Amino acid sequence: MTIIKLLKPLQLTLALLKPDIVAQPHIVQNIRQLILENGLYFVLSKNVKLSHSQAELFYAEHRGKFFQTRLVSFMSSGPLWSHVLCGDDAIVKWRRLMGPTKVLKTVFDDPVSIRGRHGLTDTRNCTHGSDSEDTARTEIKFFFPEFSIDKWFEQQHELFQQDLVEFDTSLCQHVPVQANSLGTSEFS
Amino acid sequence: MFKKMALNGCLMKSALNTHSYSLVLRRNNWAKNLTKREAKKAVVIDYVGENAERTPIIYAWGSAASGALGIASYLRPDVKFKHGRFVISRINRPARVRFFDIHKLKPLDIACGYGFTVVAVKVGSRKILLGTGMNTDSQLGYHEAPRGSGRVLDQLIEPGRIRLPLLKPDDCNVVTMDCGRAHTVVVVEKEGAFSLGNNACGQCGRTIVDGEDYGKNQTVNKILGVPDDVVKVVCGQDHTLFLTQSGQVYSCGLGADGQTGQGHYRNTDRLMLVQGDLGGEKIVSIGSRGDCCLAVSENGDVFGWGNSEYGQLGLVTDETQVNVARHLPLKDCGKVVKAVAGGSQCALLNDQGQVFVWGYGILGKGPQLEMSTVPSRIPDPLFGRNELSPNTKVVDIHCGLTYLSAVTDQGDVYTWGRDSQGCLGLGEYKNQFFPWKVVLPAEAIKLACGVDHVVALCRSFT
Amino acid sequence: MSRFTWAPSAYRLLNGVLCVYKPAEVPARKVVETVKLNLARELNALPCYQHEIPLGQAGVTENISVKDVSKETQTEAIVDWSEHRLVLGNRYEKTDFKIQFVDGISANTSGIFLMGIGKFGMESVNMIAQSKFLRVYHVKGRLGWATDNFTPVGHIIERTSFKHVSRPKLDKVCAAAQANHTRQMYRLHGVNPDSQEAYEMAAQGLIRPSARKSEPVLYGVKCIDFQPPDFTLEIHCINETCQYLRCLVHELALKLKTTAVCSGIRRLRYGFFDTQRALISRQWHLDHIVDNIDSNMDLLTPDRMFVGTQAEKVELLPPDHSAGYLPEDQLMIDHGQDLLEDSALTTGPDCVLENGQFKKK
Repeated sequence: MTIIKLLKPLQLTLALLKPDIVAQPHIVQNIRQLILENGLYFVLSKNVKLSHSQAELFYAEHRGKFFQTRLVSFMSSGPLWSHVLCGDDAIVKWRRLMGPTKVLKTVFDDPVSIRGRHGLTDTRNCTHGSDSEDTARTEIKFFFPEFSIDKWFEQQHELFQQDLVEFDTSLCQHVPVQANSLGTSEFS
Repeated sequence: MFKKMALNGCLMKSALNTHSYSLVLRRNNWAKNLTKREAKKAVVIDYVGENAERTPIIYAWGSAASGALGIASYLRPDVKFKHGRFVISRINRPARVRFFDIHKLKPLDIACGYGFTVVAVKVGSRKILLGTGMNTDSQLGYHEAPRGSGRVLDQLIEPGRIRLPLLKPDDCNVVTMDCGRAHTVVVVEKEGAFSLGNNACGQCGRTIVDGEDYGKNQTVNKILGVPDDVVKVVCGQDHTLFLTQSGQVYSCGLGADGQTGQGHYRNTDRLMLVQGDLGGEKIVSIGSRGDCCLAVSENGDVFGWGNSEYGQLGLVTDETQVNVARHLPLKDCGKVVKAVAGGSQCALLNDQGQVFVWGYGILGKGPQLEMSTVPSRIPDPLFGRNELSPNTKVVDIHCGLTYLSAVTDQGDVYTWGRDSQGCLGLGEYKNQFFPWKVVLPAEAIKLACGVDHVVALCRSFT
Repeated sequence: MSRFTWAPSAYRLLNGVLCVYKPAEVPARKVVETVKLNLARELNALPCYQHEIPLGQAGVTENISVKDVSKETQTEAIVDWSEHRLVLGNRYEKTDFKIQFVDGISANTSGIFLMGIGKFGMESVNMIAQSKFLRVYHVKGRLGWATDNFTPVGHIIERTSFKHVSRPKLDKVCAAAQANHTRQMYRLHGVNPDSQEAYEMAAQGLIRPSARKSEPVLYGVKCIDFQPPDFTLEIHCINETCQYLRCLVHELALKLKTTAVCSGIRRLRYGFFDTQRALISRQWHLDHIVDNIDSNMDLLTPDRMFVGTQAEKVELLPPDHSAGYLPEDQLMIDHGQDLLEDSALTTGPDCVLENGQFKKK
């Protein structure tokens, strides 16, 4: 088991819980439960609030598209939860959990996904996930500028790979089992 | 004991044999039964008092986890575990909200948002506003319990009072109210319009403050620039529409899809008149739940603006967004009296009680999902009109984000569409492909559709 | 007197479905017994045997014309009693009539009662019982009382006031009951409710349940008369029992915040059989029975017999003609026969019976 894991390094991805469900704590709880059940680890968690300009910056790639304005106004309309998730194929896994973007179609096509269950409209679609390793890197950088991915791979990667971490509910992230205090001080 | 005495009596009268002894006993029983029966007949029980009125009752169904149903026992583990049952997070059939019966409150008006409910009630001679459910954006006002402790409630599991800054706080005559995703707008007679909750897009009709924290907000804002004769307020997810007596439509809030109908895609924090074909028309009804807006004029013309990604406004445009009101050229729909728009589906009602649907999703015409830009009619028999009750007709339609509902003149409620957390109230957690009756033990007067819950204001039969 | 002159030929005609009007307080078996007794008596009154000497005539005397020569050998004329009715006995007994009936009508219910006589009749009646014919009842209730078995003769449980009950309120409760059963009807029609087929079926109107033994389905509940404390409901239903109807009256009254007992039930239609075809008790005689069986033959065609074997649409009479009953006549249970005498009462003046259904002219 360990050998197989060693062959393939874990993947990091950014997961955002958008304002529509952050306003509904019971749904946030459900989604976190779902993430844990699907074998993904919370590396970092943070409750942030984007200003209008920050949101514009985050969605810079969509500039000029018809849905850019509403995406930006929606993202800046309330607090967000940003999580760095890790796991085998975390990017694909998380995107599969989320379901397709178009919520009003997803509710019929993929009703068991997060968006199918809790999504409201195409804009208010519960969650966001990075679509590739490169965007994951930039998006994690955007939300966690203090977090160094390379450093994490050096120091913490092995612990997560060997499942030597446990979930801390108050921090909403996984911390190493033995060095509980050490992990908190470094990564909170 | 009694037997013995009777036996002695018999023995003393030597003429009586055993046969007459049993007769005596039987007669005694018979006499006893007779008096019992007569006593029962003499008492007339009154189930209804002398001046009894028909009781307003509130039924609610759908997601209970947010507390929007106002049934506290569903969310209190201490109470439920004691009785060996678990917390109910959702319910798929109408549940009576006993809070109003217990506290002798008479509900007058209801409105539902995403995970919260607002109810205007009458207590004795006072009229107040109550709210229950999610309060993360202060959409139900400021609730601190215990008072002065700094413990501000983010969620109310039972209705709590919403205090509006009124001149007469105990005389809150609500003209109309509605709730969006995280904001509440209440129009009070002679006092003006008040807004609570999230204002990130200006949906509360006040200046947008970048980076404002809407939670734990103690202030309730009075919306400036609202005409005096507002008769109807309708909230989409993040925008607000006001309809006046004179037939004008004002809007504010999110405009990214053109929901405000003001010719641009920016957010508006001031009330402005909707532009376009509405000029000169007297509007009598407006509807918007998602990002598409519809309005109906006095003559039965339908106007639409906002989002059209699913062909809601496909009759006039191929674009996905329309930022001014456009007249929809409908054919064979009769004189339209009401039009509602959800997330991807629209419905309209004409004066004959016929319901027409278009858009995308479960429209109520069977399980085939298709995008339709032209309204098509839902057959009347689905709303209970058949050979035995030929006069039944639909008098009101309502719209959730992904489901529709209709109320008939008999007070029956029909729902159809996508189920989320049992919001259809049909006893099952699955989609319903054509109108289906909700079993309500009372007559429905008003329905309020939230995102994943529905509240019905009903009246008892007697 | 009967128009028949020969009993076996009349007996042979007794093969088909008989429709009678059962009076209240007479059990169904009693009705069957009475019909059997009447038939036996009247057939026996007719000539039954080929060479029969009827009662009242003497036996055939043989050799009556023969004059013997000798006076000694002259004997009394021999009377042949072998062909006399008293010797042969009655040709028809009660047990000679094989009768089956459609169940579901209780002793204190009056109304249409179907019997099958003979082999063909019994088969037909079985088929009628199997198919899902719509039944129409007039149920009479009385407000203010509650008894243990919902009838006026039961033990009284309580008395309640009913001043607040008005006609519109009762109508509303009836409409609610009907609408709830409309929902039931779609559920019981046996088609997957998530299919396009179900939608198309539901869009047509009323549907019969697919299973024979399913829950009762009410198609129409309507108050046709309201004179407190009495009221009369017209109920169109399938798969009901009389106890169910009594219970329904009780429950409707509870919705009105009072109590009621069911003071009478009358069945006005059983599928194509209506009060016009029914024989009242004084007509339960050979001639009428034979005529009735003959007239009912046209209803025993396969297209009518197999109604509702598959889920399909119900055709109903228009509601403005309340199933051949005029509410002005307050006669209900005991005077049902008198009401039937006047056949003009059974249908409205401007509707005709066509294809077993009332149709407007």
